[in-house]
Amino acid sequence: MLASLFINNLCKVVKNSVKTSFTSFTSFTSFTSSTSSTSFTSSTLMFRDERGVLEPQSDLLSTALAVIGFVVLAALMSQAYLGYEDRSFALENYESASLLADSLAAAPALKVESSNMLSAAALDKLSGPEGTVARDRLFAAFSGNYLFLIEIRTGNEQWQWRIEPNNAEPDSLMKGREKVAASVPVVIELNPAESVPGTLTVVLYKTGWM
Amino acid sequence: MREFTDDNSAWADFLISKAALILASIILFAALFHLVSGFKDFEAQKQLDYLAWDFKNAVDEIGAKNFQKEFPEDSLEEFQETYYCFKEKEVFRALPFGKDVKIHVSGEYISLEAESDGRSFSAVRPFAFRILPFNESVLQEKLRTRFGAEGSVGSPLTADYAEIKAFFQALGTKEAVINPERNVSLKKELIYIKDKEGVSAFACILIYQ
Repeated sequence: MLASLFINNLCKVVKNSVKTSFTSFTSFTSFTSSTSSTSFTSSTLMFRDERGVLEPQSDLLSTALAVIGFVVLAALMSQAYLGYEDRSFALENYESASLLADSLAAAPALKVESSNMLSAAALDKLSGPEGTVARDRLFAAFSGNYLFLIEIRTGNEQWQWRIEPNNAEPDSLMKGREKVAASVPVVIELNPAESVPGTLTVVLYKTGWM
Repeated sequence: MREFTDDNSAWADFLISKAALILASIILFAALFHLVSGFKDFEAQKQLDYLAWDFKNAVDEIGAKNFQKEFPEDSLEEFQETYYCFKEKEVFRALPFGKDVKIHVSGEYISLEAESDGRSFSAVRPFAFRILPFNESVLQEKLRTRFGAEGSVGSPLTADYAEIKAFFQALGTKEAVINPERNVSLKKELIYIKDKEGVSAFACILIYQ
């Protein structure tokens, strides 16, 4: 209460001093310009208004403004965090997908002997039903917690192969699941006389671990 | 009662509005304080996440290195042992938990756990490659006990792939405790398997201290 009375008294002193200075300033300028005199007269009228329409609630208004500011700040921050959370899977796992793509592009199981090109015959075998053992061997070096598939396609989209792990559950590689993909350029030998450029893509799916 | 209703000094209004203001200020400052302390927790959690991610990345890079040399004709050269030390990482030293970070490694994940001011923090990251949380001699002993062979070039395993994979998966479920003060050894090891199609190999990474 004492503090409140002190603040009220302080405000009155400040207000009176401002009022006095404005009145003297108005009387000085009234000699020079009639238009400016009108505007200052309205200002003094505002200062002389002792009804105090806003004054008793000014602290309430300032508090409300502070609360609104805080709420807006909290909302913006939560929005930014939610946005980051949504993209964190892709941000964190793109590097892993890229590492897997680089490793697989150099895997001998996919390549033509004594060459850096991928072999279409090997890809046919790995992506077909007769490639169960070959797929087991290819995926043996990878952890079972990383669910991914390999897509290889030629640049002209004429040929494409999809290699999935044998033990993948039927709905685990569905299109609707969250995933991240990384591609590396490769050269695919379709036959000893024809090689075409293409891409090897690793599509990494989100599991409960990630 | 009459005196009360005739009182025009508005003391009740004054008191109620001031009480409301005091209450609103307390709530506002409490919310601000909570937000600031929440940021500290968030930062600690992110540091722990980063450390787990950094270790996982170091292990995955070893798995990806020489990936093309997993097969018998190329794989006769030894894979070099590399080291990772948590204590040497700036992020680890900057953690607010001090030395009270529990680190566990299994065949499937790295897990970091810590407690600060009664709150527990944890970060788990799965590995991309096949991991075993023990050293070469333990691995050879386990393989000898189970399959009667060490899994080396001279003594390849003769069981089928599915059986070997299931065995390695079971081996990987055990957790090893990592001391952050000491170096962690990371070594890529080849396991040779002989079947009707010949001798082939697959790699796994050994993590031990």
